[in-house]
Order: sequence, then C-alpha cells, then structure tokens
Amino acid sequence: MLGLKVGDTVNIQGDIDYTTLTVDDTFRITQIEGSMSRQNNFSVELTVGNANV
Amino acid sequence: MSSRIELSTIDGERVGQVIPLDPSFTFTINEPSTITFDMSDSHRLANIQYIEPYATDFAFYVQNTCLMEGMITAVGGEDESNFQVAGSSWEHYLERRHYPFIPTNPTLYRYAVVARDVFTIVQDVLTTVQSLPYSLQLNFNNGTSGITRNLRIEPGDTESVLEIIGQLSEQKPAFDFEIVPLTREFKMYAPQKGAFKDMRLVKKKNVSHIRFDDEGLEGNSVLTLGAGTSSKLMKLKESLSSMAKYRRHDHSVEYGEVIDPNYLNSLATGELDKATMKDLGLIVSITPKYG
Repeated sequence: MLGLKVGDTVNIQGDIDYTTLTVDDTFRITQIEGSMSRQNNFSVELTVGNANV
Repeated sequence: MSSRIELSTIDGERVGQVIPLDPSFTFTINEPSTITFDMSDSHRLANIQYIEPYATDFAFYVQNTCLMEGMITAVGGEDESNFQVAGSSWEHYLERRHYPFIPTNPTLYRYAVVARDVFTIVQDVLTTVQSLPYSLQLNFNNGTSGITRNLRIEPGDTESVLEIIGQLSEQKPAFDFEIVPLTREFKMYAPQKGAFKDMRLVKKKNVSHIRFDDEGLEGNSVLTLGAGTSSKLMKLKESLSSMAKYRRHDHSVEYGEVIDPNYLNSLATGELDKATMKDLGLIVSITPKYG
C-alpha cells in the first residue's frame, strides 16, 4: 500500500476549501486507516500532522 | 490485493489461516494498531477452540507482507452467516499490564531513577514487567537515546505500562516507539520514527480529496496536575501571545501519578505547546487505484 508507514513524511498538494488555504508542504503521517472490499479493492486514508494556519 | 490472517496459540503453535472478509485496520503512531474483519461461521476455524480473545494471536498479511501482529481481542455476532473479529497489535498488551506490585512485599519492585537515559528506563520497566510468569516476551536492544529522564513508580501504581512509556515519550525532547511485527522487537526512535518519502500526494491525481478539521486551540493557560489528594502538585504555563489573538482559554491536564516536580514541569511545557497549537488536521484519501 504505497509503501508508507506511520511516522513517514510525504509531500501533499491540493486546495482546501477553507479561506484561501492551499496545501503544498510536507506532512508527517500520524495515522493510516484502511479497508478492503470483498473485491479486494483498498481504500486508504492518511491522517497527517497539522497544517499551520 | 490479497490479504490473509494467520492464527496461532499464545505459545506460537499455528492454528490456521483465515481470509478476512471486509477487513478494516488502523495504524496509529505510538499506539496500538487495530483490525476488524468478518469471518464466515462455516469456516473450519470458526470455533472457540481455534479463535478466542486473548487466547489466540494473529498476523495480518497483505501480499505476503506482515502489516500487523498481535492478539485477537473480541469475537462477536448473532446467529447469522458471519461473525465479527477484532484484533490489536502487541502494544495493546502493554495497556493490560501494570508495573508489578506485591502487597506482601511492597518494595520488591520499587523503581526510582534520576537522570537516567530514557531508553534504558523503558527497557528497565519492560524487563521487570515481562519477568513475571506468563508474560508476552519482547526483544529490545535500543542502546541509549542521549535523553535523560527521572522516573519514580510508586508501589501499587495502576497506570498501564503503555501509559508510563507514553508519558515518557511525550515529554520534550520526545521519542517514538513501536513493536515490530513478527520479531516482537520493542523499538524506540529518537527524535522520531519514519523517513521522508519522495512521494507527492496531489489532489485530483493520486488523492481523491483532502478533508480538514479545524477545532481551534485547546487552551493557552494550561494547568498540569500531578499526584496528591488534599494538596496536589501542579504547574501553570501560559502563552500571552496566544491569548492576545484568541482570548484566554483555560485547559487542564491530569498526570495523577506524577510526583516529581521536574518531571511535571517538563510535561507542562509539552502540554502548553500542544494546547496552543492551531490545529488544522488533514485527512487525505488516496485514489483507490493507488491504494
């Protein structure tokens, strides 16, 4: 799964519909949540460190 | 991607393999990881003889990589075709252990150290805890961290071992820890676990959406409470710059077992940093084909 583990740092880029915040920075992954369907499709959510605003 | 669960007894004897139905899992830094999955009641292992909370261990594999190992913690369901199984990684075992205390010999395991390397302290605690019969055995060889701490564990302390280690790890300078699947190595990382991955997660490419949660600050006048009943040990830390922007917000944190003023002061500094941080937590959903 992407080869990521909690504690790793990745670059995340994208708009957030909140004021004019656009994220383009490195964040540390603090939690990974995943699930797998019976068709063996993965869904993965990463919770990352806080964006400073 | 294929996944499987290998089941074994607490003595390591292999019980068999289950293909988990609809598995969901969570990995959280410095905390137990968890998994839940369904299992058909027609499976040959669908019997308390083979799968029972805390009598059965599991290893969760995805494409032959073991992502999680630990204990089955719950089995439940109704009289239907499937039942639900939950498991938690080895860190959970440390939530179910206290530092040893024998009422008839209350000082036998007494522990009090000053300015000792924190990795050594953690290993001291684990060594004592797992010296009791029928304990999960972990391996460790972490060397030293260069970070010193004081720790005193009072007789009858009922904090879990994971709480003791967690409090040590959260003080500044902090450290991370984990129990590595399969090797059962208790590994510590100073200042932190993880590596920079040369990977860009970009919305509308490999990220389907980015959710944010802004719940504001927790507080900027933080009272950290230590041990005591009629007279509690306490430290108050405040951030005037935060108050100038957000008004004054009181917040308190309990560390009911802490009796060392220096230790409490160190905890209080960390708590003020956390409480005044303006949180905009991000949750990044990966586009399924990249999962």
